Amino acid sequence: MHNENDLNPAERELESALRQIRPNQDVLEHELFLFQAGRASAGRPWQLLSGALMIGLLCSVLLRPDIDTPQREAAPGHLMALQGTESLDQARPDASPEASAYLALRQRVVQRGLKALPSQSATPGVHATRPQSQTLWLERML
Amino acid sequence: MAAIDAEQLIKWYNRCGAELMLYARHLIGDQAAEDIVQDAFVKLMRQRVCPDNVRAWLFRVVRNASVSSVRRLHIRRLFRQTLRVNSQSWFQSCADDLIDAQQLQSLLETLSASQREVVLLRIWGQMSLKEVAQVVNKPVSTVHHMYKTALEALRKKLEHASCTTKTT
Repeated sequence: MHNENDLNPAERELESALRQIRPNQDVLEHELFLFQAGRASAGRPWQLLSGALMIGLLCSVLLRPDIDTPQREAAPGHLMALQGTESLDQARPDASPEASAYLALRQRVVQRGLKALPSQSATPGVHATRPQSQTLWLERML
Repeated sequence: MAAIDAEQLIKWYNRCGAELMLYARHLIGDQAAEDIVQDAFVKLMRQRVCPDNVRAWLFRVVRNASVSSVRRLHIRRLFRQTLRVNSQSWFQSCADDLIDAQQLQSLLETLSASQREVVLLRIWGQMSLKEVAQVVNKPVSTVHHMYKTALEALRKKLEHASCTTKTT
């Protein structure tokens, strides 16, 4: 066992002389320490808040119910008539003869391209009965 | 033991802040020493349970932080240059002192780093050899031997310096 007092008188004298010398205290800024201690002791509400928000976000992502793919809303009737390429005569059996002629022409154009368009002289009836504005014509038809 | 309160923290800061600063300056140099010492006190404040031996705990924290900081520097040569360039006086000069403060610093710098560490902890850290051994993580017998060797070296150098002064 090593005794702490196991020093000869000369060493003991030196030890006491050394103890009298004080370390330099000017190098330590007391105010800076107090500031840092205060800052460290203060709560950090923004960290708590962001942590809570993060937890909430994770919970909402993990626990959310299954979301089905939303069903496409049924288009209005006059748009449905434009969407399909099937014969619209079947869809609207009560269409007028003009509308049926137009829809038949449209079906042919969709299927064969612009070549299916009749010349003006070839289909005078269709040209004559078609109004200037197609939209107005469709509205009137519906 | 409960966490340390502000009053106790200030008490410990006033009691051993300067000694910790001296120890940290010896380990890491002036620039980083103050940050390390203040971080040690902040760490003490954040402890949920107050350490049994606060003084030894503080010195150990300062030592660990200094060692980590030196490792981060990597370039030991640069670190030593920093020590030399930024060395302010380690001790307060007082006319009543038997040993001149500047001379003491020079003498301490001639000791090996481990011897100097033991002397700083024992004399100015006011720690027992057992506590010093815990801080430096060495056996008490080794610490005791290092301390005696360092004191002997200091005594001889002081005698030699005083003889030189008398002859001149």
